[in-house]
Amino acid sequence: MFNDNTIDSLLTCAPFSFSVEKKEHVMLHLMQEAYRHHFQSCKAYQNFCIRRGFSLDSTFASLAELPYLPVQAFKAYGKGLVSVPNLSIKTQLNSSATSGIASTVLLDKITAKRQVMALASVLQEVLGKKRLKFLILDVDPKIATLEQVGARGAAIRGFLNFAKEANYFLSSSPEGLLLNEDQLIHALTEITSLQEPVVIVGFTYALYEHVVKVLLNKGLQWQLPKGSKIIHIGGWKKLEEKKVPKETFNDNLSKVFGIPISHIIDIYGFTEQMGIIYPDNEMGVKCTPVFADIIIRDPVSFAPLPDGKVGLMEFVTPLPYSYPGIAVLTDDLGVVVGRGGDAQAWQGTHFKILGRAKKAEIRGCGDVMATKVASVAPKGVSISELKKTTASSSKVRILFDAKSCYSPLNLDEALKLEALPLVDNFSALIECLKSERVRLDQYSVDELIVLIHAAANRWVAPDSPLTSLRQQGLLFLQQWCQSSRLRAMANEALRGQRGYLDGFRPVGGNRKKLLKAMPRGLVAHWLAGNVPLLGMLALTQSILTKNANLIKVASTFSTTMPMLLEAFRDLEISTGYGKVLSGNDILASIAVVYFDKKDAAGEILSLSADVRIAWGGKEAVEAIINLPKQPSAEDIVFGPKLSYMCIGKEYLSQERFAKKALRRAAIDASVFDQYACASPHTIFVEEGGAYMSPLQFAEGLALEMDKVSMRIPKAPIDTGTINQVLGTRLKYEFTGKVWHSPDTTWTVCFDEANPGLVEPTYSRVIVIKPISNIMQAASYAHSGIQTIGLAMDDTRKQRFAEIAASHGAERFPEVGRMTYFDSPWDGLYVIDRCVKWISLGGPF
Amino acid sequence: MLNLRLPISRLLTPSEIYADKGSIAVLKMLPAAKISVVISQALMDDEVQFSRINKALKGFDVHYIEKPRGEPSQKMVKNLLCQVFDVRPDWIVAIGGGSVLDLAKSLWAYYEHPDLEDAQLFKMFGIPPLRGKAKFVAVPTTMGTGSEVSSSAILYTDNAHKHAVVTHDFLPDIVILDPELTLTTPASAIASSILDALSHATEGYVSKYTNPLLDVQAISAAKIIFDSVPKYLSNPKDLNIRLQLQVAALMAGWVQNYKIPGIGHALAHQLGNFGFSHGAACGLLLPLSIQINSRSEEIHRCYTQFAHSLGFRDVESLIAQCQAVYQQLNVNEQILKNKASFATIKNVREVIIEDALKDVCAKANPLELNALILRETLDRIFRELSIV
Repeated sequence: MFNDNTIDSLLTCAPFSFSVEKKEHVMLHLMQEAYRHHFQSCKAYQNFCIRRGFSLDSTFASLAELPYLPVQAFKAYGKGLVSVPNLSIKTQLNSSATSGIASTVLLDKITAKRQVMALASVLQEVLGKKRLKFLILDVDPKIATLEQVGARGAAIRGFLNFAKEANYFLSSSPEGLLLNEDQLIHALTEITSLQEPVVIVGFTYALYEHVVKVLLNKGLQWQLPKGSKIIHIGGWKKLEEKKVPKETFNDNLSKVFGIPISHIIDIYGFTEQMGIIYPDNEMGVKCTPVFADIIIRDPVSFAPLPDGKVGLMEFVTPLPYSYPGIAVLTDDLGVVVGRGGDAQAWQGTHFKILGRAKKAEIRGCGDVMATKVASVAPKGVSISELKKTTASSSKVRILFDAKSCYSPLNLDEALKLEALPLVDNFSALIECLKSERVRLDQYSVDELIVLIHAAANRWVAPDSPLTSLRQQGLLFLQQWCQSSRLRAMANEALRGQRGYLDGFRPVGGNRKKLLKAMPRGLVAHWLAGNVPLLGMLALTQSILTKNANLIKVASTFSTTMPMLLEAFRDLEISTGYGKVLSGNDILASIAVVYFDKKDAAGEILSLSADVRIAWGGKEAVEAIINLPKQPSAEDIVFGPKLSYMCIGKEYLSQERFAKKALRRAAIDASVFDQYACASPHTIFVEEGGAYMSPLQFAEGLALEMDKVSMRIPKAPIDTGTINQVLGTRLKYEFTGKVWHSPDTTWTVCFDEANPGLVEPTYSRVIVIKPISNIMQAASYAHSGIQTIGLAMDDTRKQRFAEIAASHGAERFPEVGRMTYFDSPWDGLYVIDRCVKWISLGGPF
Repeated sequence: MLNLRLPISRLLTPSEIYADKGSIAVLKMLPAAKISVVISQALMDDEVQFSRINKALKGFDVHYIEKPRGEPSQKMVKNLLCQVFDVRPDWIVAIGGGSVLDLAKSLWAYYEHPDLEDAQLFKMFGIPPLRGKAKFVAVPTTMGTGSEVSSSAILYTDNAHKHAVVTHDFLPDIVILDPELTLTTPASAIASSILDALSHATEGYVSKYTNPLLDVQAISAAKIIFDSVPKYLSNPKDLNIRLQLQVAALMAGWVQNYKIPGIGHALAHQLGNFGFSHGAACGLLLPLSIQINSRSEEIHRCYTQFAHSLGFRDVESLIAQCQAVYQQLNVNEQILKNKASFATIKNVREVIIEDALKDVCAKANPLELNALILRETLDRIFRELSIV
């Protein structure tokens, strides 16, 4: 009975027994108390609430009015979220970090006890009061220390309170989890012969991947005693990635263990409110117990949504005492499907979970690691053999070639892969491109430059279908393709004379030795889905060097690359000296295709390529580089890299310089919405500037970021990114200072407590760190750092660059120019890599 | 080269200068694979000279481009450019007078930047950098245009407007002064070019743009010219004297490239549109230019200094010497040959004045010029030539 308005009393009540009105009344009262406790006891929480206009005396008319912490707060600053003296902390819970960074939750005795009671309360409803034998299809958690308990282990320990007896059937090894198969088979066989029901406990992914699939593959099945149940927790993320739907999961479990699907219970819970679990009821719907409730929030505005609307799930509960996790906004999407319920069914707020909000994709470029991981074609593997073995199975679809553009010439139109024509003979296509390459030989490099320049002007013409990309890098790309810039770039990359592309030129100041830069042949490009414009930068350099090009796009690829190339079609330029330059001659040796990453066409392309250019994340790039290749093939890999910025005090000594640095820093942190590998995420600002302190720099930068957001509008972002931005803001609200736009357009954080580089949040989130001597920031560079923007005098700049370069950084442009694509990039000249140097005469 | 934006005196020069009898032979050492040689018709037709050039270029892949008659124009450049693109040279060698050198410079600019637009071409220093494709050798065969050390090239547009294309990248990598090659050049052309050089040095010395580095060159150039002209006239085949005059022309060319001559050149450019020899017109206008500018005491002092440096008593002596050289070189005939044009010139006098005032040389003149001064100058020229 609930009679004294305390949490302990509430925890003794039947968990699904309160009417809507009663529950709201009780929860509001207890949440108000919990709020006051945490506000008074946790400084970080107090700061957080004050910044949102709350005070100790704030009262709440509904649960939705309470301030809520996003789960990111526990990832970013979990150890600082503590509402009891440190001595009272008994346990530190860490989440399993499936989403990248682990959450930390600090537990005292009071909270731990409440968690156990809460878990018991709900689990009894699911399993009944009678203690049963548990088969735990996981690793024995006894190996973990008490001080550092993984959330998975903690959950298992919680379940053990309901077990008459527990046995474990997985063990961990350096290779991963291993099923103790014989023991399990023996145990299941023995249980089947008894009449006493059992409970199988497991973590959703491990249960399926390491147990059910193994048993299923061996054709093993049991009929467990009536009343047996399976409970599984941990979420669907990993199985979703493996494309295993819940129906398949349930069917297979039911098949292997002989248990009805209604007895396979999916339990939802999360580390930040450990102990509170949300099992499916018999209808497959979840229900909040008396000590917790759910609020659905709009993923963009975070306003509470009415029942029936899908949004981010926030859970409220007064149970946490040692940390302020009383209202936590998760990354997960859900919907409230009803409230109340009759006396026979569970009462509470009924809801369904619809999965995790989409995670922000980390885009990037720039990692030269090709030579470290590349594999040369194994002995005995030849293209002709591959052709034989794969001709029938390979499915290569063509998006663009000299004859036509098969993908839509409209950015808004989705690319329907199945509508694209299949390539009959992929090897023949490659050979055709190689033979058509000779059409480029009739042009001088400058004539090719003239054509590229003219095509680039078509991209930005008023009637161009690419207009919507103008602020997304298209204008930069067009400027980059201006003839004077391309010529300068080619000169720089080719020993000062692009003329080497047109014929032999002397080297070393005499006629004894001549050099010529010959095209390598076929350049294969593997583009990532999010870098269509960047892909053009490499393609342009490959065209200039008179190579044939085959571009393999990602399945999620937009139609951008074909549209860029379409600008060359029927482009004709009369030179005035009697020659007509034709864009079709360039297109004759270019094709854009798609095939699945497992398709053998990948190997054919790789083995045919004289240069392989790969864009994308680490995994994608490694998969490409590990394809067999010609021993002489060049590899250029643009993988993920990071960058930062350093402002010396000399730039903060006068108003003029400081304002210039602010304007430029805001541009670097805003263009490409900070997703470029050259975008800064941390800005180190040196103390001691006569005009401006690092803190004032941060304030000034906030104003500039706002101005830049007007000039360079931000692209729409997904809910996952929004959550990340909010998480970062939270972290610095706890520990530093934050300025931000009313929405998530831009964020400036100031952090004087933690030295070093920050983990990037992307999406125009920049962290300012004061530093006493800017030269110290040089040692933060490492091989994963591509660019460091510098605003300091030339002497210090050179010293800084020497130190940082020795740590691995590659580019040190002026602040304001960090993201300008330049040569060399990632330490190499693409043009130089696309040619073979031929010598005539010599040596001397 | 520094990308200087400050008004600080400087001297940009070709990388290498060879000045000697037979110096054309240095072409043998050119680190070249393919060479386009832009050459005057006269040299092509002169078997002896052509064979000397050919000998120097033996062993190279050489392609000759003969300059057609007339001043370099965009049309001419475009007609010839396909020959350059066919060869794809890594060196362009220009052998001839100022117009041959200017033609080669324009071909070079279009070869490196085939999409050059007029606005970019005719904008001061508007051409993107050269030498990504080829380098440049200038072998002048006259003694005065200074094109071999000039950052500009004269180019006529399709609608016959004369423009200067200006970039310091035009300064050649190599300049060869070989007096033997001047032997083919007609005496009248040499005479006219000497006056052009004298005018570069004298007008340049008093230019509004000061440059102590070049004042020395101006004095040296004028001194050589005053000393050498009588010797040259008495022994025109003397290669040593020709070489001296070539050196003087080169130094005077430096002066005009940075200090810019004044009123005489401003009007001579206009008279050139009516068929007057540029050098002869410069020579005719030079004494008047000194007289008119000397109305300013300060400029008069400057001329006095120049005259003293040359060993003359005063400015009047300087004027007298200039007139003497003009007479000695006997170019008046060239001027009077165009008598038929005088009637036209008189009719369009005001247009000439208007255009001359826009000329860069008018702007460099030390005395602020106006229509009145130019009208007076032109009228005095007409009177002097008894064509009133």
